[in-house]
Amino acid sequence: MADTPNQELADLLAGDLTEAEADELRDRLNATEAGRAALEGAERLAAFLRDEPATEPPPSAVARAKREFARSRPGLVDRIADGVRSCIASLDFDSRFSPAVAGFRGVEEVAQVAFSAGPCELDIEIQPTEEGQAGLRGQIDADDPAGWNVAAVGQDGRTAAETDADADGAFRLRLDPGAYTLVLTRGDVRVEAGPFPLP
Amino acid sequence: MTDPELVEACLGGSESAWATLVDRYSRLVYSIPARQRLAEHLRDDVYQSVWAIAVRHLGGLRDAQSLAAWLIRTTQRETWRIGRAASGSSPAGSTEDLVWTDPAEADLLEDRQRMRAALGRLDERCRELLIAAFSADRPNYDQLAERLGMPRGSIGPNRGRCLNKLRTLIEENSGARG
Repeated sequence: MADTPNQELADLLAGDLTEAEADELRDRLNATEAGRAALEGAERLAAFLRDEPATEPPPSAVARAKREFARSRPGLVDRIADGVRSCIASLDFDSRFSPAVAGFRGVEEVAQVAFSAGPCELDIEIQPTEEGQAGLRGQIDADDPAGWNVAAVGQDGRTAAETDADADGAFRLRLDPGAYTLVLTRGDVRVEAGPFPLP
Repeated sequence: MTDPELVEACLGGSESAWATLVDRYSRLVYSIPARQRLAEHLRDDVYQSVWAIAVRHLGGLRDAQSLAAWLIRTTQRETWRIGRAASGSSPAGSTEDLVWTDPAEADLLEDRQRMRAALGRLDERCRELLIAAFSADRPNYDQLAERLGMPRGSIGPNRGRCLNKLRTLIEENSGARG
């Protein structure tokens, strides 16, 4: 690095050399491995410096991104006294309330609901059963999807139904109409998704 | 603070840690849809979407080997998704050109993030001089000299010195990582 002609390189990359001077310098640098590497590195750096002004996002976009933290705080993992890591998943999508699929809304249709949290993501399909219940088919997406327990907790705080997800993170539940929170637990991790209404 | 320290502080509820994280990687995230020439309003959509995903996945990012690499992958995917939704095809033209599968582009973006971190450690005058000197439009050296408060004849030597400082900082960062 010490014998690299920084001044000449800077002149070259800034376009301050004549064509003949630039050609002579390039030839000289390309004649050695160290010179070639210095030229390539400096060219990468100059390209970066040239492009950098265009990478600044609008201040309003940055401010919104910073506000996202306060808005999504419920999705953050908190440590609680007994060492269990607990978090509340944020609702990403509910087809029943999405304008894009409003035309498909209806009691006979399958509704899709998606939550995400730090430890996992959760997709749920809800379909009415002939017995007037709601059939839930869920899929947990996590680094290791096996070993999750899933409990549906009603508004009164009681567990209405409970099951273990299979090795792929899939599970099924049947629930009466009402509002429920799904509580997913595995080891010291606990994720709450909901509450969400069932017809 | 290091990235893992910032993530941990965010998980502890620190809004200022989150703001630092956003500031540190804002340009990286925004540069990706810009490099794919997405319309400006779509770049904003990608930018917002990535940070919304990041805040929800902070728990998973605690052990991330490289936050920059995770942000690059996520932003490339969101760029492709939002670009395709807006145009009916991928921003690069066809689904065979999925830019987020291009490791060379990801390496270049990580390389630029290292340069960006080093540029942030330069003094303001050097930073301004380098950005102006290597801009796509050739600078007016008289105006630049006046703005930076240095003789016109000093711009060339200072530019070389600043470039050298920047390269040294980049090498130091690379050494610290390796």
